Amino acid sequence: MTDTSSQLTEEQRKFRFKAAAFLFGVAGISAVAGFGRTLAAVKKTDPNSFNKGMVGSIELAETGSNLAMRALGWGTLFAFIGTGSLALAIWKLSGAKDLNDFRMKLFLTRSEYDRGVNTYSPEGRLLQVEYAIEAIKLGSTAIGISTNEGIVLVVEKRITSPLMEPSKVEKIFEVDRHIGCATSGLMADSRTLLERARVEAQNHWFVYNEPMYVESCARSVSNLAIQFGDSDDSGSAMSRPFGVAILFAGIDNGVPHLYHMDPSGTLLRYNAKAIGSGSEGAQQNLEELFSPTLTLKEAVVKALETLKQVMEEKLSSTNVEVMTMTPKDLFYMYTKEEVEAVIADL
Amino acid sequence: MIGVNQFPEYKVPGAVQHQFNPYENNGGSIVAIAGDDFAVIGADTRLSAGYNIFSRDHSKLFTMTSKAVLASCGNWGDSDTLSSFLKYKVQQYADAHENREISLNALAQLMSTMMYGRRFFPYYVSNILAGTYEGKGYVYSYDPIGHCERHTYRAGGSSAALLQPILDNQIGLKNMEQKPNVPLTVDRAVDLVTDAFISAAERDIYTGDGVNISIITNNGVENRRVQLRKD
Repeated sequence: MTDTSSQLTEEQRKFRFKAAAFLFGVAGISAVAGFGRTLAAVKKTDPNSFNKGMVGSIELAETGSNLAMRALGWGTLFAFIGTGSLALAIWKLSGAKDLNDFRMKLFLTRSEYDRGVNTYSPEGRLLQVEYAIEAIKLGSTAIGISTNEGIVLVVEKRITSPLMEPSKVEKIFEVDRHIGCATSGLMADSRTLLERARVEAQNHWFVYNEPMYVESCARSVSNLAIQFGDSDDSGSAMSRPFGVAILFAGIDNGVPHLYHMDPSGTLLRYNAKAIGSGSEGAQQNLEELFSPTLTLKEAVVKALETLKQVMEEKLSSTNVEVMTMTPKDLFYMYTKEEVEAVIADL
Repeated sequence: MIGVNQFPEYKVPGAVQHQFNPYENNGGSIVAIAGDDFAVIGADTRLSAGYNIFSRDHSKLFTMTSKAVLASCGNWGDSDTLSSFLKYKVQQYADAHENREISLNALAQLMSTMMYGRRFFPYYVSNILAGTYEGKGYVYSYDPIGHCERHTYRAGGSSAALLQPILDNQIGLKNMEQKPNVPLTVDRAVDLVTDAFISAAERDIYTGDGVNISIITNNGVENRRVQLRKD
């Protein structure tokens, strides 16, 4: 306990020193500015006398010492107003709750703690991981809905140029016949995670002669996702967090399972989940429309409707992928014609 | 120059041959029978080496899950290691897959991959795995390098050649003109296993003392003990 408290006072002392230096700096600059302004004003109105005053003469309207006092007065006033208004402005702009929060905002910026991927910030956060989660929000939207009959995954394909080949923009992958996944974020990173999922699924089949459980498969991927960092000995997979979120859809003994994994490796089971740029709006929409009695056919329509609402481009059979995972047919990608048929009914 | 190749193949004074035999057969026999919704598996309790008997009460049955029992005989050290390793794998499976109990069929495949993993220094064991899977009775037998095969009845170990024909005749109904149509019950299966061991103990010095029998039904595993001749 004593250790922590003495460390805290040490911290506070450093902080006070920093704060004092900063305030002196602002005040000093303001004072010099005020002083300079007064001198400049006088020189402007009466340049002749000003120059004479510099060398000392008797025929002056104002003595040098008087002028100096006046300038100093202005300088002090400027210093006070400058420091005060600056502090007030920062306080208001930063939206600080109290004095301590304000100090944190003014002097302890995040930037010192978001360099190392394995360094906690004083608030106890891993900022690089949080930034990676933010990176997902730049990715294309993907939506998954789980029903009693099966799961539907739909994803948006961003066709940024008419010269792109849309069929080669793939965001839904088959892991095993009974497990599929949709990804959002950095597609290159997703290949590494997908590889792991496929290897684990096949290895489970090889060792146990049974299909791998969806949760086990997703968990093995999330174990890989948190193996980032620069350590040499533990064999990290990546020097930074993976910039990918994944929706896993699969069937365990005839029961559909939908899982979501983000760059922090957090793995959760969902009834319906949206990831990517439109995820916030889409998730809200899913929360309103989801019901446990949904049929798969309804879920496909609802998922596409939700995607349509959050997409910037117009929804068409070329810029969307649809996959269903059912106990009977397992992994099934909709053909272009089937997608068109669903879109026509929206 | 004088070297090993200068010596003849027969024993001559001055040439000492050193060799290490890591395999020793500790005897013992195992039998398993699968019924429609149950499986019965038995193993004698004698542990021997040559003309020595090390133990008269040595179990060769290993309960792996609530639905699977392994019988293992051959080299005792190997079957001890293999069964312990398998138990460890069963626990590991439960830990990795949300506390699920490994199914009999998954366990059967796991044992095969584990044993084949030692393809070039195999466990010197004869294994039979019996249990129920999705309500049905199963028996799997193995060779020392992990080949796995499903049967309705199977004998293994030192008396395999004595036990298997009894089962072929009584359960397989081999070489019969008129086949009696009697469904196999748990009691009949247990009686058959007991009788087969009593017969084997008469002829095989590596089998005797007693039989441990496990009956695997959908209600779990029940263990029984039958005495055999002790000479």
